[in-house]
Amino acid sequence: MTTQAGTAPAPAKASTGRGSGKGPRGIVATRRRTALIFSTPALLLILLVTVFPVLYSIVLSFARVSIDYDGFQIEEFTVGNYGALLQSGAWYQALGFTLLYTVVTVTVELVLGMLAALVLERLGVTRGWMLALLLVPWSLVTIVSAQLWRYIYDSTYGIATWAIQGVTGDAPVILGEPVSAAVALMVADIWKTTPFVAIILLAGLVMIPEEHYEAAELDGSSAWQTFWQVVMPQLLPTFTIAVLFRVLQAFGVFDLPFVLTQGGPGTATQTLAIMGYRVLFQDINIGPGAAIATTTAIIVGVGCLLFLRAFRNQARGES
Amino acid sequence: MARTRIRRGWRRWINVVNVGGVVIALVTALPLYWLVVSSFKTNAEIAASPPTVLPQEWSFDNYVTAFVSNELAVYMVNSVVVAVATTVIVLGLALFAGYALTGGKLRGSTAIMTVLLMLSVFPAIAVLTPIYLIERQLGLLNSHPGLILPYVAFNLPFAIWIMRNYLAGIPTTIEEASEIDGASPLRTMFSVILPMSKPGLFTVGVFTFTASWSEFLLALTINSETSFRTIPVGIALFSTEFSVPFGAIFAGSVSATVPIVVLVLIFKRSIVSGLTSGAVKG
Amino acid sequence: MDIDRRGLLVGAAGLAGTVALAGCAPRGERTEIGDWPTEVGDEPVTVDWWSAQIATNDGGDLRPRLIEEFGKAYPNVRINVVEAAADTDTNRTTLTTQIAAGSQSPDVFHGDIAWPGQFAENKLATPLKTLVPDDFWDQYPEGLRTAASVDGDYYMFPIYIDNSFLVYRQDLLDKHGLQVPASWEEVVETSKKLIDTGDVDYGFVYQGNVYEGMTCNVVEFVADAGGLLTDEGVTEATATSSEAKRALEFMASLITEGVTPRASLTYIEQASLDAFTTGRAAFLRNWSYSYDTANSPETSSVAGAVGIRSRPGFDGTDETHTTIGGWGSYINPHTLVPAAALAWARWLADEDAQQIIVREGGVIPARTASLTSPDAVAAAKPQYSIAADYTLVPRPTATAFYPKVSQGIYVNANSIAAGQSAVGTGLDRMQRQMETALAGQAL
Repeated sequence: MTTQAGTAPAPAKASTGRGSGKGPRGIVATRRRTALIFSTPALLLILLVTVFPVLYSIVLSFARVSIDYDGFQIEEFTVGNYGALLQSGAWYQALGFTLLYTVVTVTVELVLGMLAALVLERLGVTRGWMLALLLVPWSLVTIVSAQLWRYIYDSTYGIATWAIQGVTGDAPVILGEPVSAAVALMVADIWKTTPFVAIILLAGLVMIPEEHYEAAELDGSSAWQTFWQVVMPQLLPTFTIAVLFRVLQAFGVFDLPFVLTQGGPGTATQTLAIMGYRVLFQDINIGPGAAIATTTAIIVGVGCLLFLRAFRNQARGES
Repeated sequence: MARTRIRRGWRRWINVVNVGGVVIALVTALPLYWLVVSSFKTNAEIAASPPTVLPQEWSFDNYVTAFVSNELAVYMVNSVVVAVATTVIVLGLALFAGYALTGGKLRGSTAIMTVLLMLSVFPAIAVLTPIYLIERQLGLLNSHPGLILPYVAFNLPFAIWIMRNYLAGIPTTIEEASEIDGASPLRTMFSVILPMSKPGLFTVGVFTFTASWSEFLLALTINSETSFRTIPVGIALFSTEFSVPFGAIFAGSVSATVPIVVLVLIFKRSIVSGLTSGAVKG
Repeated sequence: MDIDRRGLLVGAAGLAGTVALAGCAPRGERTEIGDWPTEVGDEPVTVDWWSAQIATNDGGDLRPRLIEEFGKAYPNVRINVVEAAADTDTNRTTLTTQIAAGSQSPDVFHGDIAWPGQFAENKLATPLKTLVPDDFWDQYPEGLRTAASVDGDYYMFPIYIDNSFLVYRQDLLDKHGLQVPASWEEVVETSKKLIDTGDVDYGFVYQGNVYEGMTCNVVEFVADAGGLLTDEGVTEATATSSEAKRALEFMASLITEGVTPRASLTYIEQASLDAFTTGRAAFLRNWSYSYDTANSPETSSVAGAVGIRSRPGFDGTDETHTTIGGWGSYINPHTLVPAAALAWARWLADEDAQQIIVREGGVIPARTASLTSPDAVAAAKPQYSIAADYTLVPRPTATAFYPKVSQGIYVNANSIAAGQSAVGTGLDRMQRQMETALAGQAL
């Protein structure tokens, strides 16, 4: 799909009456047309491929749906699916766990990622190697990374089990208890995702001009003060984006709990996405499954909107 | 440029940065070590308790299983084709779209950014069936475009956000200078904007590639035929009803990851310079 | 035009386009079951068979052999294998998505024995009773017929079933001069003795995790106690019966008396087998593959020291019970090759294929006569002779809400066995959750 080639050349400066490149109104119009042409292919594709499925799903969530030989049949429109969710203990539990999971993993990853980025920034020769190393967990297929951790946490021959047993003397069943399973899940996620957060933050870090650091040093600021007064303010746009998208991913986490715990033990580590999967494809309960997906999207969406409003300027990257 | 201080004496080696670097390297590498080492163990040794740090008997059985009894090579080709195509298309589209959405060139760009965010938020499991429906109509099942199209659409919102964020940091004076020089927008894009957007391109590229490389549910449903299967699905098929063959799975994933690692090592220097090129800003 | 209006127009056009596309979806010809063709004819035809590996005696794949033999009976029908995941949930996801969207492929799919209820309700499989002679189904054990039928109709041609067995350390029994236990009470006694000697850490292990496998174990223990968890037609739950109480009390006592480790409540099949093959456990309840794995030197450190018997009953009972695992063939209602699909699915369940399974396969054939045939005797697999005497107890799978019913069973059984709930309260909760599930209200 090389749509850019098809839409170039951009409006030429001299050949058209408008947008001749002379005068402020002309430039604005040219810029707008250019922007339109530049952005249309991407936006169109997103529209075509994602809007219909999303709308379809939302419609189904407001219906009692059955599957017939002719496919999905909407028996009647109802808000009963949402009612069922709001009365379902399992849904509240999944929501609570997903929130907890998001807050914990994102916070830890940001802190560790920030530290890692700071270290990486100051590395000299070894930086290239470190970057390469950090990219490896990220490049592992998520399912495989989850299997690796499942092997590590196994109750009979997992190395983590043996390590803990060596320290405490008690053989833990890591994936068998709700609390340890949740922690195990988070550790696996943090291991895989922190490198990427570190890299995003590193890219933002290196944009801070040398002079600002030198000025801070001349002022006699400590490292701590330098960090908060010089680094963070300039890093805020990057930081905000990192937080935003990490939150989005963490809220929708599926692959990892799917392989590692299947939402277990019981429903202790059942995230919203896992519950949605269970209801849609295990129970083949289409209406409520779509309702779970829609409510998840609404919750995250509203959260992001509020977040953006609070950090409006930073998110836009206006300096 | 890295801010390196000149340290004297023992601080040259033992200091916060170096120690931190070692810790990071260890924490990252240990599970990876376990992955690689286990792939060379026999099935009996993988299940040994207590676990052995080094294989008592180095064995290639798992690799044979992965490649011979399962068609890992085919899966790798499919994954590469899909991931590379997705990444290239996303990079191209996001670069232009991200640029278009900076600096208030378009009315309603904030609204567009918000809608993009909303769309990327919708859980993938719920759109699985509608997407399958559409692709069935269009005859895209069991093909490469059948996966590339949804992957591009799913990754674009994040990509556009990232590119826009980086491009917004480019001073408008440079853009205007190029305009005044009479360069067409395309020219501006390629000679001025593109070189300065490398950190963003790198971030988006890595993210999109790994997301497409790892995607499971859609690949499972749409490309169910062996000849079009991708690695995550292929590796999931190693398992039998009651057992998970860790050895074969690890061998398969080591084989799938090694080419990426090799590429990264080869292009190490350009990755670093691309990532840090934003530092030239004054 | 500024962005807003143009964007809107483009969006609307795209939307209308895709809706139209999806709307006028040409679906596979839904052949009315009344005129489902049964004659295969002579033209070459291809049947897409969605299946996972069927094990042979030595761990290979039996499918090429089956396909080859079928080709002799129907030379113009070609079977195209589409590889399926072995995991039942992943399979169900893909099949539901494809068939609900009207896909004509696969024509025949390999499905879990627990699916008929769901697949019947959601029209994902073809009702089969009228497509074969009435006495066709008499070839299979009664328990299997109950499991495969929904509202009096059948939706699955069985291929092979799986039974659970008690696998034990023969060498340790010999070493300490102990008899092979003949009842659960004796299993408890013998386990305690063996643990005391220090030769094993655990007595009896089973799959007690909060998942489907636990339901299998619970159903079996309840059957041992003489009861069932639902009525015959799976419309009412009977979880508070005295038999269920006895069974769950026994399961809880296994842990409190130290016979079964708490870890067993986190085991799925692989973990429980690992506990046995690494020598930690003396007795294991698991499916038929576990005996072969435990006796194979490449995968077990107790190979050659393993014995197998049926799951025992309680003291004073003669019947031995196992629940039914296994896989069968379902036919896609949208298939474009109905006659050929029927021929293939039926052939796999019929005598020729079943005998091949007996002779060369590593799984238990569904057909009763095959299980007791001379070929089976010649194969000398202990699983076959034990299976012939078993009483099969189906899980309550004949309902569309089975996964939720099962969830009500396994969540509460795990809690009772772990001692987190008292037997009475736990069973009350199980009853309530099963009732909610059967009413279609569970989420």
